[in-house]
Amino acid sequence: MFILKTNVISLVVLWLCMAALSLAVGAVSVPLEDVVLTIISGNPKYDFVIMEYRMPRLIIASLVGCALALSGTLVQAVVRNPLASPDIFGVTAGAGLAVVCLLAFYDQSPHYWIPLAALMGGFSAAIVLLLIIRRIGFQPSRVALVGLALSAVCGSGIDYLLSTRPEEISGAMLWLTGSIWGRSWNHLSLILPWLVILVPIAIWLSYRLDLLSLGEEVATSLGEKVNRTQVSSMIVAVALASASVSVCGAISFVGLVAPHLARLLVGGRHFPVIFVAMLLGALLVVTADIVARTLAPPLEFPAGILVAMIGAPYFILLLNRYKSW
Amino acid sequence: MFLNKMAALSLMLVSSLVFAKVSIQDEMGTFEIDTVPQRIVALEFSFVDALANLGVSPVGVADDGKATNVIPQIRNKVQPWTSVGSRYQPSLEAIAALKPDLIIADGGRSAETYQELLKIAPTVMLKSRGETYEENLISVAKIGEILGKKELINQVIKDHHKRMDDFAENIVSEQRFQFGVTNEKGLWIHGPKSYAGSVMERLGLSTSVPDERENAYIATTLEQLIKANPDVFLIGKYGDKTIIDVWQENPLWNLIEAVKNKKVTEVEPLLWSKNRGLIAAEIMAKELEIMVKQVK
Amino acid sequence: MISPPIDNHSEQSLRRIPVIKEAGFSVSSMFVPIQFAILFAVLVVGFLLSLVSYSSFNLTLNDGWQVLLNFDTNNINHQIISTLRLPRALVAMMAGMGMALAGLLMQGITRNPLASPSLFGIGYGAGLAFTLSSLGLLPFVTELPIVLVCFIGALITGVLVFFMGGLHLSRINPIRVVLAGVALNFMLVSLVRALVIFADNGAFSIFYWLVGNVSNAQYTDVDLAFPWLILGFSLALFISHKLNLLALGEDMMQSLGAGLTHIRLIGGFSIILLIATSVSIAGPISFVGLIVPHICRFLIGRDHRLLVPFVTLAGGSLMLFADVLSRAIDFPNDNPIGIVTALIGAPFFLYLATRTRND
Repeated sequence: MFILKTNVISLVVLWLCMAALSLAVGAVSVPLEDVVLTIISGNPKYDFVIMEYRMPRLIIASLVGCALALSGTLVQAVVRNPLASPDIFGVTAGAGLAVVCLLAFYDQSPHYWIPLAALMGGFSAAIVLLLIIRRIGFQPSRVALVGLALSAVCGSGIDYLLSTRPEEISGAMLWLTGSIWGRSWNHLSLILPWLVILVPIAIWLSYRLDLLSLGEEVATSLGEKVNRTQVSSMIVAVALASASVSVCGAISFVGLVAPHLARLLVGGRHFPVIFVAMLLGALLVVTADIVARTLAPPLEFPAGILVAMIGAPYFILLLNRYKSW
Repeated sequence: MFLNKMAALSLMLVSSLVFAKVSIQDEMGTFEIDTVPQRIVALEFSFVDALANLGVSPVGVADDGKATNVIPQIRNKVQPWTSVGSRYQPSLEAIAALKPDLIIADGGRSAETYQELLKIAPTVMLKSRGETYEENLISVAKIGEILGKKELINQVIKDHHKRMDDFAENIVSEQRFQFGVTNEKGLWIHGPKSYAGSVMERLGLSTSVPDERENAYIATTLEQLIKANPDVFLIGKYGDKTIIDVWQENPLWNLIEAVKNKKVTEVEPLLWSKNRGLIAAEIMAKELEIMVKQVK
Repeated sequence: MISPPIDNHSEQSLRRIPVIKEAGFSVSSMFVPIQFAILFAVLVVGFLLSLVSYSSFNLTLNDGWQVLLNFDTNNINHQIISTLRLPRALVAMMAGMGMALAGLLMQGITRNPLASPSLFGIGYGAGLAFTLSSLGLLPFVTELPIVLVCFIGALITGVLVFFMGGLHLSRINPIRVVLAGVALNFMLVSLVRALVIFADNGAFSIFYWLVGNVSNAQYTDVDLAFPWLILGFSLALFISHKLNLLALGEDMMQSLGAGLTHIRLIGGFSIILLIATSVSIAGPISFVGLIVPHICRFLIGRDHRLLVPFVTLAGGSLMLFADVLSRAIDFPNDNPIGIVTALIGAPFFLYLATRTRND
């Protein structure tokens, strides 16, 4: 409990620092006192920048980071494989395919169709996956494999569509990489409800996931309904991942890295891991977004790239510590 | 010439005094504005071309971080601007900091952030990316209207058409022209649906791929290039070494009409592909005229 | 498990272990030469089709024949076949061979039938080198031919994965290897995508290469690839019977003193070499390395001594037919060959995933 507390507190403090930083820096530098003043009482000079632009970006980046990290934790628990990330259920690829189809066939569509298409695409891929699993039986490694194959099918579809429509490539790539640019308060409704509903469910599942990690036979002998837990966790993971992807595109690396780091910090029990992973996820995405905005202003890089660039080297450094899963 | 200029100037004065509410159709529906915008942010190069033709300088341009992405002939007509970032993700902060009263955005790129842009300033969404010559003229006219310079822009367009017609007369040619961009790994020819292709069609030139009405940019191998067999070949190079260098070693290269006629020329891809607009089109026409007039 | 004494004699007796038969396969050693012959015929047919089919110029087989016998420099068809189609067919074939063989080795060494070359991001390492170079961001390599730049990029990535994954240590953790590959892959893919976005107008040219493309193949590509392909093939053949032993279990291998580390080093080196070769001449082609070994195992069994040549021929054939299809789909426009292999391979992969037994 102590370890959990210290970790959570230090991560929250870190997040607050990053949050302050993200509100202060950018193409227009805002001194910290003004940041605080604007939040509390409003300031016509900085109102737009802070309240309409950076604050929603910060909140959305954090929430998406949380959702992806949580999704990744659940996925890794279900599949019992450390290289699982939310992508392996084909969610990201399905969402991507849906978005590219929309851009390719109906490019005059209203802009708010894109997140909807992504959500539907993600869920459709998951449904296809579930249907296939029903026929072949639920085995974690099989599920991962089929999901991977499904991603591959969607990926090849995306590549085919893009190769015949070269004008769409930059836009599609941008979405596929993941970006927080232009996200604002109206995007909040795409992610917040999901988190509010699903985080408690994930916490409820955490004890059961602990049992699962002991191995399926052991878990069953302890009275655990293995299949039900696995399927529910999968559904929660898919919902979280779809929601995140619909808001920000495919920022997938978070779901792979955050649970690992969390486990290194607080051990293997899922209850603490969930919290720490969510905080780490939020931290990672917010940091990536800060760097994306400040590397070469006013040029803005897609945050998804920075997430991979920051996360990957750190992750690789961790590999030295890898003894066993 | 002078009289024309006086007419234009007086029209401009008159129209700016009597400014009624302007309402045009843009990509998002109807756009309305009731004052003349003074501080304009343009999120695509073609809009800068249009503004330059109206003698208006934008305060901010999404120029991918480099002002030199806009060709000098356009830059020389406007005041230096503040960069607001890349065209695919312009910095909304930087735009807001400029306190614009009009944002001209590309319907193709910025549809998602339309709401965000609206919070900063009235925003008009016009087609830019992937536009043809004709579509560009429509956008230019709309920009003129919005700025309360409807008469002026119509005059400018009319003058432009006259100049283009003059060019077309001088560039009478039965030959087939083709423009393409190339790098080390391949060649992409710009068909009639691309901007360069549609400019050439405007000038009455035939293209070497007349059946290609679907895609603007077509990946072309040497085999396909020989089949297309253009009489005049304009190449925009991205990079010092391109695949053309390799193809030139190939004996089949000499079978292409353009090579036989020594009508293979390098052109600036920035001009022919990225910057679209009246000024760009006229420079392209000029280059074509020179090419056609060159004695073998 | 019985532990035979470690000496040369037992090595030789192990070599005489007959083809390992799986329940359900009724491959008898009599059919093997016939299967090889059929495959070789398929390869030849594919090669010829790739040479003359689907061209705007009405190339015929006779033209192809004449190119060999009576080459006429003024005949357009002859020139096209000789200078454009021939290198293209050769490059497609060699890339297919390299990827398929690399896939086989990876599956053999990791003992995971679903390992594939794209897992390690070597393709994207080459892709990054290519992208940086075509955007002019690598000024010191402008003198080098692009294919060499890609090759070096791929090699560097391969070596990175090798060491990051700890393959040089005696006790390896297979999970660590894959994690290293996956992490590196993520990083490279993101970087490449970012550069593609920045390239804007040049984006589609980079993208075309990234999906796998042989449209503009040249003889310099063939010259570069050929020696490395031979080397990779030879190395693969060299360790092929050891891979058979490895299939029996790693512990068995250790106890035989058959040099587990040696296999990993040689195999790893060969894999990197083969992938680097394929990727630098044709871009990252997906699925060939995953699917071809599977099909071949089904047809000819699990003896790597037979699989190595068989997979090589099969990989080449697949790519040649994919090349034909890439022109056929949207004639007279060319599709990148990687799209064709993906459109065929991905559903097949899905099918495999739903059918695979737990091996």
